Amino acid sequence: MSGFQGHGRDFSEYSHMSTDDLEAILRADFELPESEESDMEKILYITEVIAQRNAGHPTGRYANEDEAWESFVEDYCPEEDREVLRRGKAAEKPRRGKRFLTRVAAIAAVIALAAAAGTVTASAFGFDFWDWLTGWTREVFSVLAPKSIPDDNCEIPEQLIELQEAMEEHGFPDGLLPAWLPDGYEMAELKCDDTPFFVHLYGRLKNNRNDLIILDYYMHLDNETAFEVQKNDGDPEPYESGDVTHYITTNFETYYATWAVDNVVCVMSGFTYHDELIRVIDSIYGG
Amino acid sequence: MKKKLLRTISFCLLAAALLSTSVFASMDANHYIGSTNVSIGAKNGVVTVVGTVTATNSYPDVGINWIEIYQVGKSTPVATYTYTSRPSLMGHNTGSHTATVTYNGSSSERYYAKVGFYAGQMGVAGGGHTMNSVIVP
Repeated sequence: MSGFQGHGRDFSEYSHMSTDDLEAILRADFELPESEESDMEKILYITEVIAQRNAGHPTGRYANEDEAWESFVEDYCPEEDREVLRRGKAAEKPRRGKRFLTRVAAIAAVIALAAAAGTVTASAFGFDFWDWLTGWTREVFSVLAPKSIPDDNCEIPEQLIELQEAMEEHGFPDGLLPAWLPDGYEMAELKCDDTPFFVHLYGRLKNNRNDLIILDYYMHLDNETAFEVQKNDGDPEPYESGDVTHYITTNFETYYATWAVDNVVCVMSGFTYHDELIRVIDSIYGG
Repeated sequence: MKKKLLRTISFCLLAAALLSTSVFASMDANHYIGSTNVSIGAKNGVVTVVGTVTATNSYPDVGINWIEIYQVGKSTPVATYTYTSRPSLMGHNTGSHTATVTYNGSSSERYYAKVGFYAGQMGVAGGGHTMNSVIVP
């Protein structure tokens, strides 16, 4: 641990405890009676340990916002508050003392640090600006997100027919492939990885100038997955098409689009021009 | 009490500042690696880790440099696999590669994995990226 040291006190034993045990300590602190003082140095040390561990596990802890919210309520809230919070009626509770606020501040630090690392469902904690579980740091963008599959079933370009057949063979839903590609691109490599946890389809197209378009589709069979897209510094640009939000990022000089529908995460990359990527995205939905 | 609350908030901000430095102080983007995926599962103590890397182009070496499996609560890995000892971890002359390892652990323990991805040409030029899995079970 390189951070909070607690005025020379040795908290290193907490670095070696499991995250579950650390969360149990936080929970016990939360439930202390008003009259008992918290050991805030210890609590803050533990929050940092948990947050640093969470930082190493982007997207993995919570599969969806309901699960994240339920986990928050179950793990951090006093038992008597849980039902109220679950019903979204926290405002009806009687006022709590400042000690309650102190504990909330410590827990808020965990949530804020975890959120900064892209590990929690944003909307579960009031940051309701996404409809998917997404997160990013300076260098990577993560997505894990369920939503409904678009109904559109557009005509697929000839160079993607083999990829389309592989999708059908492995049970991918319709509405993931573009109906338009820039001229001159041919499929250079097509791969399928059928694993116990996901099916991955990869298509790399190139033209005679060696420009690339790369298509990646992961159909996840469970949620024990971490997925990252490399990116330049800066926030992703959300782009709506077909009622689906696509997150546009750059990795050096090329544009990426990342989106998810149901259990499928999709990435298109290699694009030199932003407007070309937008046109390809729109073509998925008949545009 | 007000003073204590302010002190607590100060500590929270300090912790946030320290952590955000360690989380975000890293290289931007990657010339060689486009995206990476790590999936993990555990059944009856057998831990399975699957890693996939998609490179920014086709390169001589694209795949997994190493995989470390950790038991939660221990600071050193319980198993380490490298492409030199397990050549199937690395693909060649491709733009994407997927590889799997299994580890016979204990059904009463929890595990996670760290995976070091690579794309480029070993010994010449290339890029790496490290990812952690989630914790299972």
